[in-house]
Amino acid sequence: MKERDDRETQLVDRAEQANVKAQLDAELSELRFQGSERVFRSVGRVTFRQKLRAFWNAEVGLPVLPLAAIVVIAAGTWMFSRIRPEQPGAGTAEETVAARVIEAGGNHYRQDEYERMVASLENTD
Amino acid sequence: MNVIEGLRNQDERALRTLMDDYGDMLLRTAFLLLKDRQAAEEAVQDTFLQAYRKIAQLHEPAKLKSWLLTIVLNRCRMRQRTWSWRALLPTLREEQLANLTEPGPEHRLMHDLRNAEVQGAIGSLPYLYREVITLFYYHELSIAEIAEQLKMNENTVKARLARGRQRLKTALSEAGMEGWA
Repeated sequence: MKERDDRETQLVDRAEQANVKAQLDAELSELRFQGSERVFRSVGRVTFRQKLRAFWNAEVGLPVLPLAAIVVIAAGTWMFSRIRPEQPGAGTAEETVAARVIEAGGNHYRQDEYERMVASLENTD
Repeated sequence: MNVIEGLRNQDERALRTLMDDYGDMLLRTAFLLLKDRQAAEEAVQDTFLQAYRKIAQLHEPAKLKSWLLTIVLNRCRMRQRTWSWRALLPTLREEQLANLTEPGPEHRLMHDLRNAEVQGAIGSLPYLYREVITLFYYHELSIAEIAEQLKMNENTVKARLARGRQRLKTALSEAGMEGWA
């Protein structure tokens, strides 16, 4: 059944192709190639302009998925670096925390909290 | 005279035979794709020059027509991508033609072509549909042959052809051509 449908479709396609082809042949019949002398004049010499045009119009195939992946990774890296800017002279995360923790009276405090408390006590005095 | 042998020997008579045999067909193909007579002429001239210089790349002489068609399709794609002053000034060119007191054969031809319904409807399609439609109708190629010619997947060709034919039928029925509704 499917084969018969396919054959019928093909027959319709062929008839339509032939019909449109005949119409196009009639419409384009006056269109004749007239550039043969120009071709002969250009044979054997390639101008700098032609070379430049060939280079400029050269078709280059770019793999979309790998390129898109590279762009996404690069953009992500850039965005991440913008969101968390590195402190100049900052060491590792552990060193930074250690540097900010101070010891006072046998206890450990965060330096910024400690300084704020000391300052507030000094102000009340 | 064997045209391909002649071209391999850089015989200009072979080039003339090649242009006589395939020039009109390639020009009409390029015109259907580019919708511009001058651009089509230039694309076909470039095609013959490339064929003459690169004939060594044709390994199967039986595929000469198909090889030339591939070159002209690539040339047309290149021209389609290339920005041109011509695209910016179509009205100026038409005004120049209209200003001619005695319409010459070129003017009459362009007038006839503008009024031609099927090629006009093909020209109204987006380029990617125009390409498969031209190969299907003007060259009467099958889907498999179009896929091979355009180095494309058959399913892609089928999809483009289906959409292109639908758009073409709409354009032709809008233009009042019978049997396309």
